Amino acid sequence: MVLIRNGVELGHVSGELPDLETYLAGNEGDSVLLSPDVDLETLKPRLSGLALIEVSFPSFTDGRGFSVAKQLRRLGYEGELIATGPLIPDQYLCAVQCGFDAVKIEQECYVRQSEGEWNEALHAFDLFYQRGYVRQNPVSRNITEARYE
Amino acid sequence: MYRYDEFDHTFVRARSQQFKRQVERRLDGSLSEEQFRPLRLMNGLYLQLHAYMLRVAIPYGTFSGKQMRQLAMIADKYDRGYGHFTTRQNIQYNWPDLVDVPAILEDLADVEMHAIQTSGNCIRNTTSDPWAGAAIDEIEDPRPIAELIRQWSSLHPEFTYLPRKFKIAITGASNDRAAIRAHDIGLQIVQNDAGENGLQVYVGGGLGRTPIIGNVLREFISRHELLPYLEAIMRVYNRYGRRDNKYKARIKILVQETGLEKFRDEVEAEYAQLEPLDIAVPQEELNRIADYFSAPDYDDVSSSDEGYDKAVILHSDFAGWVRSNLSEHKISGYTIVNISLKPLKGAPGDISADQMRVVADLAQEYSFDEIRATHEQNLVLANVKKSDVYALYQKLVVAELATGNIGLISDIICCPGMDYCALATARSIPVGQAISERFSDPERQRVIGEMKIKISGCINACGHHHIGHIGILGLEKAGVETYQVKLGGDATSTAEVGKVTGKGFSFDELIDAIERMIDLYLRERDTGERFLDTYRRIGMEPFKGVLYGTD
Repeated sequence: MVLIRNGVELGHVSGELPDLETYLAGNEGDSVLLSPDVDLETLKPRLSGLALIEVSFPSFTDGRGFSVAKQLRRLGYEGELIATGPLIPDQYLCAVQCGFDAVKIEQECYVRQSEGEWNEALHAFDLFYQRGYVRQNPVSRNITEARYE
Repeated sequence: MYRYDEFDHTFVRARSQQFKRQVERRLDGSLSEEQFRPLRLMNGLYLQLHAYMLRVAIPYGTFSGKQMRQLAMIADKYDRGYGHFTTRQNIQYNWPDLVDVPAILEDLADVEMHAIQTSGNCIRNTTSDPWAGAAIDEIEDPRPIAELIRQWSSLHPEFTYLPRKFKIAITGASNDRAAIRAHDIGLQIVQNDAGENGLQVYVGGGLGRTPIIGNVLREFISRHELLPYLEAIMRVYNRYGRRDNKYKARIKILVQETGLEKFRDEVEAEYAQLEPLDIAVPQEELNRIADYFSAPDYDDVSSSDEGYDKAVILHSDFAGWVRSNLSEHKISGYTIVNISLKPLKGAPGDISADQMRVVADLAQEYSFDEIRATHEQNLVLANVKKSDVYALYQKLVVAELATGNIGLISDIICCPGMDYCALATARSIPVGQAISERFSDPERQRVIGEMKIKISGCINACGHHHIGHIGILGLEKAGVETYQVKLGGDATSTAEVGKVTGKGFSFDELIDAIERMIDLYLRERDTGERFLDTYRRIGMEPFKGVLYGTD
């Protein structure tokens, strides 16, 4: 898998994180892989002990992971948050705005759509209508707020 | 009407640039067709039976003469000199080339228009009352809230890859002309006990294969809390809506399978977690948007007008058109002019580029340069002085836009059907034309009175057949078109899904069958009853009798 963060390829990563059941069963560990149908209530008590969460996207048209990220951030999770699956560059901004730090995609997806396209996608928009979906890097502006600055 | 500021302009240009790159990346192979498909759909680009089809958004159906002229230019330059108004108050072009689409989007952006989210599994164009701001039964003009929703829903980072498409409609009047209960979310502006206006929220309506009338999710929400509340609904839907079967993926199925009470609890629980102030827009922004929709500068004119009255007396064709196509305006001396796009032999909703320019000129001259598209596929000039109506009418006659059939049997909603659509299982436009032809006598239409016939060419129900007084569904059985008939559908505040009469009819049998039902209604009706009222009173059986000869 290829990891992309801030529009830059960070190389290949291998190894799978424990799924939720495995993670909850053990007392060790600070990382977990969540499926998009996860019940976050079960994770809540252990959230502060986590440093890395991956949320899987079964297909690029399945947008559940965006809401999972939004809810994790609202629950106060501040660690690394990665979207894992066949995402395409055109969704990169959505992922970042919903709270993901990085995306992890299959090598075969990456061959078609290289670093340049991921980087370009990150800069496609710097204005957004929705409030509460911040992006730090590069900095984006909410249109409503910009109107009254 | 709303005007873009620098931010809206920048945003729409960025979106058009993004799509241009997506087309380039499709053509150079870095996007597969599978990946490109949802991206082009979210920009209103379909691959149809014969060609690509581009659907352009007309937010809540309101647009200007200048915008209409640009739509005419696009029809001439990139298409075949016409466009088609849809049931979502949008316009679509049936013959553009893929490589021209980025240029069309630039031309649209020049006049503050776009094709954002006119298709795809995202929040679609919010529809509204075509008489907004002019209707006598209005509590409040719904368009400022519709515009707020347009902005909020545009390229929403979280709700752009939903289980299925998502449609919102809003009305500010007591009579629902926006079919809000046939929508995923329907919003009705209401006043609470404290005298404040806010929104009543319906959820889970929809047509398609499983027609359901929406139910009240919340009796009242203030306009400040509306966006946070919508966000809560959307999040519950995005997380739990079914994704295993596209025919069960709309929110109506989630609501049905979860149960309304439990669904409401889930939405309220999510809503309770939100910080509304982080999401809602400030009062000054609500005011800024509302200012664009303040009442136009009406002249102080008397309610009776000699010239108008005289024209009605002297010209019976005009009098007939007035009777069906004008609606009462809240300001005395003004009227709402409904322009029918349902001429005899025409395709419902179609309009030529030349006709578009005529309507643009008329809007500029007589109606504060504003036009409305209706979900019934007609146009409206909402603020016309009665003293101008006869002059306006004469120009409509010259442009062949003076069909006097609004609300009558030949004012048919119709999907494109087999003539254009890749999904269609039967023709629908020719059915509409055959019905119009059979009932072409204007006097006969007038006698029959209000009648909503709606025709879909497949079970996806784009022609709204579930909510027609008479609904017609075209299917294909063993290579032969067969038409199922529904009765008693209603899109208004007394919304209901129609019931199937029984076995279907061939194209040729269908028109006779409809005529037999109309004749029955004319024999059976009490004074003042519409077809729908008579049906509700006497029930299905007598109609089955004349349809299948069982009486």
